[in-house]
Amino acid sequence: MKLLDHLRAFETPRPVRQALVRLIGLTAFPNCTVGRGSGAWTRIVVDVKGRATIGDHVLFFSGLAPCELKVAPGGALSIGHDCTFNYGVSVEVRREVRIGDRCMFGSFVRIADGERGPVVLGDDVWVAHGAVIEPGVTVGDGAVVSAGAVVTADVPPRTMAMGNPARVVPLSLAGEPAERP
Amino acid sequence: MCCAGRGPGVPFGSLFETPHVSHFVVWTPHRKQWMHLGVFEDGRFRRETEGVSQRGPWHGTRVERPGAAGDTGDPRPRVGGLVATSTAGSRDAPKPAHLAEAGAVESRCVRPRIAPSHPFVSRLDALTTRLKLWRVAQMGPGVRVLGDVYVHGGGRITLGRDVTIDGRGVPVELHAEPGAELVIGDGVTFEPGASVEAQTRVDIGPGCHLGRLSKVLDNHFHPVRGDRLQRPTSKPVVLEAHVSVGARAIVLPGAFLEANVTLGPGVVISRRVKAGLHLVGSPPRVERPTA
Repeated sequence: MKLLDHLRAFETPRPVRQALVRLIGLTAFPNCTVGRGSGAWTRIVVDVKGRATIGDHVLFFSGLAPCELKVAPGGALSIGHDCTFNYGVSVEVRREVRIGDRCMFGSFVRIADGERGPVVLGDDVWVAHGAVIEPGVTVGDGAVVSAGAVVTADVPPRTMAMGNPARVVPLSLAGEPAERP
Repeated sequence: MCCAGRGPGVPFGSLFETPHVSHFVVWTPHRKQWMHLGVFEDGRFRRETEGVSQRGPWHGTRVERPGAAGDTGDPRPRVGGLVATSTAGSRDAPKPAHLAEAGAVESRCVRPRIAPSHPFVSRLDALTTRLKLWRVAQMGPGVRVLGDVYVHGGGRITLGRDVTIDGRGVPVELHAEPGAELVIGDGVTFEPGASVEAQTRVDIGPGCHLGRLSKVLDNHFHPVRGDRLQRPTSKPVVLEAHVSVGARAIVLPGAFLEANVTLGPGVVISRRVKAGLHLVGSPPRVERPTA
C-alpha cells in the first residue's frame, strides 16, 4: 500500500518534462517564427495561414483540452517572450492579435479579433480561467482579467476587469491609485 | 453473486434470441431498491429502479415493485404499463424455490462495486473504472466513469458511493496537490469538462452536480499584486449537500455554498451563499429561492 501511495503521487520529473517540451516544441509550430525554448507539453492545434511570431520561452500546458492557434490568411499573430498558456486556450486571428511579454493565460481562455479591430494585450497581463476577450479590445500593461469575465471594452493598465460584460474594478494593482476609465 | 442478466444455465446468446421482452428484477442491496432490467426485441436495453424513472426514453414512467399493493394479481412485473413476459430466455425453466413467491421473477445480488450499465459489461465496467481511478485513494461502491478522467497531483482524493463521472468528449479533472485533500461525497455527478482543483482542501457534499466545463478551485495560483510566480495561500472551498453548479460556472477560493444552492451557467462566486438560493449572471445575483 505504501508503494501504491508513492505511485499515486508520481509526477513526471522536471528534466524529463523540459526535454519533452523542447522536443515537442521543435515540431509544434508549423509556419510560425518561434524563439528559443518555446514549446508545448502536449499536442496543440496550430493552423497558421498568415504570419505568426512566437517569442522565447513560451509554454503551452497540457490538460483537458489542447490549445488552439488559428491564423487566417492575411492575419498576423505576435506573442511576446515568457508567456504561458494553460490548457484549452483558443486564439483565433483574422487580422491582428498582439500579445505582450510575460502574459499568463488561464485555461479555456478565448481570444478572437474581427472587424471591430485588432486585439492588443500589453505586457504582464493575466487572463484568468474561462475569460473571453472580444474583438477590438485593448488590455493595458499589468492588467488582470478575472475568471469568467467577458471583456467588451478596453481595460486600462494595472486594473482588474471582472463580470459579464466586464467592468473595471477600482483596485490598485501596483501600489499607486488605479486609473479610472 | 454472479453478474446480472443471465438466467441460471441459460446460454449466453439466448437472451437476445427470445422473441419477446425479457424482463427480470434484481435487488440492489447498496441502494435498497429493486432494479428492473429488460432487453427488448431490437436489442435496446432498459434499466429502471423502483419509483419514477428519471432519464432515458422512459422518463416519467412509474416502476413498481412486483407484488406491491395495488397489483392486479398478475405475478409478472409491470413496468410503465408494459407487462414483461418472461425471465431471461427461460420461460419454461422452473423457478428456483426461493424465488417462487409472488412477483419475484429473479433476484440476484448486483455486484456492489458498480451499477451495471449493461448486464454483460458490468464486470468490465468495474475493472475499467478501477483502472481509470487508480490514483484515487479511496472510493465507495457504485462509482462509475464514462469516458476519461484526469486524476493528478499526488494529494488524497476520496470518492463516496455512486459517484458518476461523465468524461465523454472532454475529460473530468480531479487535482489535489501533495498534502491536499479532495473529498467528494455520495452520489455526486460530474458532467464533461468539470474540474476540481484542491491545494489544501475542497469538500463536495452528497448529491452535488457539477456542470460542463465548470471549475472549483481553492487557490488563485497567482497573486493579483506582487510577484505573479508566487503561489498565494489557499482558502478551502465547501459545497454542501445537493449543490448544483452550472455549465462554465467557477467556484473560487473561499466559497461556501450551503445546501441546495444552484449556480446558473457562467456564475463566478467566491463567498458564502445561503441555503437554497439560485444565483445567475456575472456578477451573480439572486434569481429566486429554490424550493
